Amino acid sequence: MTADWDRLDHDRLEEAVAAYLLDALDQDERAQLGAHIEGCPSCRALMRRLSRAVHGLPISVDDVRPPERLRERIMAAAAVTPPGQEAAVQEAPRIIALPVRPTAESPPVETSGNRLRRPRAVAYAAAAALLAAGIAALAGLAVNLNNQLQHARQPPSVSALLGTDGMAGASGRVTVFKDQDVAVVTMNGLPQLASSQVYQLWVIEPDKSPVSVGVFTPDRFGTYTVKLDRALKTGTTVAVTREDGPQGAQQPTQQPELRGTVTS
Amino acid sequence: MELEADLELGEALAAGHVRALAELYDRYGQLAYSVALRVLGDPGRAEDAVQDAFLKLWHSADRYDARRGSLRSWVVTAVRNRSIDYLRGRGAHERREREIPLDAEAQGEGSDPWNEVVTAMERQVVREALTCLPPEQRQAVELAYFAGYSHREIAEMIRVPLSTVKGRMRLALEKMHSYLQGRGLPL
Repeated sequence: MTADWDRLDHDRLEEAVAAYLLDALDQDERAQLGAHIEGCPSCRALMRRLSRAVHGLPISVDDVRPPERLRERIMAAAAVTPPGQEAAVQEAPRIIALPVRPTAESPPVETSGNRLRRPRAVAYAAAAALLAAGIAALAGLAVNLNNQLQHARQPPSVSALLGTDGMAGASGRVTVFKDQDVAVVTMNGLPQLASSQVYQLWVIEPDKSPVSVGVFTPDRFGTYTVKLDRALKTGTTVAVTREDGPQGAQQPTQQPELRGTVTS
Repeated sequence: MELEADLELGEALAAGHVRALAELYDRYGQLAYSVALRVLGDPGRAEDAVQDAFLKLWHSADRYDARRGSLRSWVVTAVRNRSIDYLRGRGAHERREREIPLDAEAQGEGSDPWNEVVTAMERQVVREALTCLPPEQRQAVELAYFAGYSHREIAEMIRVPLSTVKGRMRLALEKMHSYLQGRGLPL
């Protein structure tokens, strides 16, 4: 009698293996079947066989190329929340950086040793006056970019940075997440600097003077990413100049050779 | 080879190398987006679902075990689950425990056969396998996998006994398996 009941139970459970693989069982049923499968070779064999078909299902969908900005969104969000550090409190870096779009030969680069350095105190004060509300301390924020972007619904705007003259090979993007008051500036192909120089990033709102965001040295592939905790207005120019290090300049000493304007 | 490649990339992800995340996206981002779009039918929400899924993987990379399943399967499962959450109006915190078991595919007989680049021919054959199913079996599979309905909900929806739905699902997967195997796809 017991054997018959066991058999019935087995048959009932076995019949649910396909539903299990298709994620169609209720939680209790799922737990019960999962426990049964562990000790049942025939159900495990059935599951192995049917799972091959289930894993083919995603391949049946139309192949659609995602928008370019999706990669950028993911990389920007990941940059500020390394694995295991989503809620970590760090020493208030105002801007963090990472190499983006790494090439196949580029080595892994840690973000911690590559943070934007602040220019001299005067420049800092000037920047702070305009940007203090916007450039928030990353670790001081209760909500990280990841969470912010997870709740974003308005598509980000993406504007190009184009290099000229001495930065002719450089390019970049400004991605503005208006819903979240966040902008991410990515730069690629920046030329190597003389040892006495630094790059300096400027934000220039319409009809206003350039405001320094900070100075930085890109990695050996000329890449650098900066996150600003403010949404840049349409018409704002983002520009990069080469300045004397280590502090940079109060105002640009040359025409920006990498620049772009935020579009809506 | 696939196992080694997945193991290496999985370790780089767990170590927090953004380059590894970029590589994961470059490998599977298009497939992920295609699946999300198939489930949600809305490009904006599909982007959100893919982003959520990749960030979830990024933050839980230390839990990935290449011996239990391929990276591709890991990505697709995460994206499919998040897309279903969006579709059904569930927050991630409401998600019931319903990961498609990775170990189902990796118990001693090789891992995910669809691990690498999918050719147009393979895509076509999988589509044929689905198309060849009797309509009621295909419906049961698609309502569960692409729309996130439970077998109970499907039974109520199409007014058949629960056992019938389970039977249709099993028959559908058995037939798909046979069809794919018969055409020499890697099963």
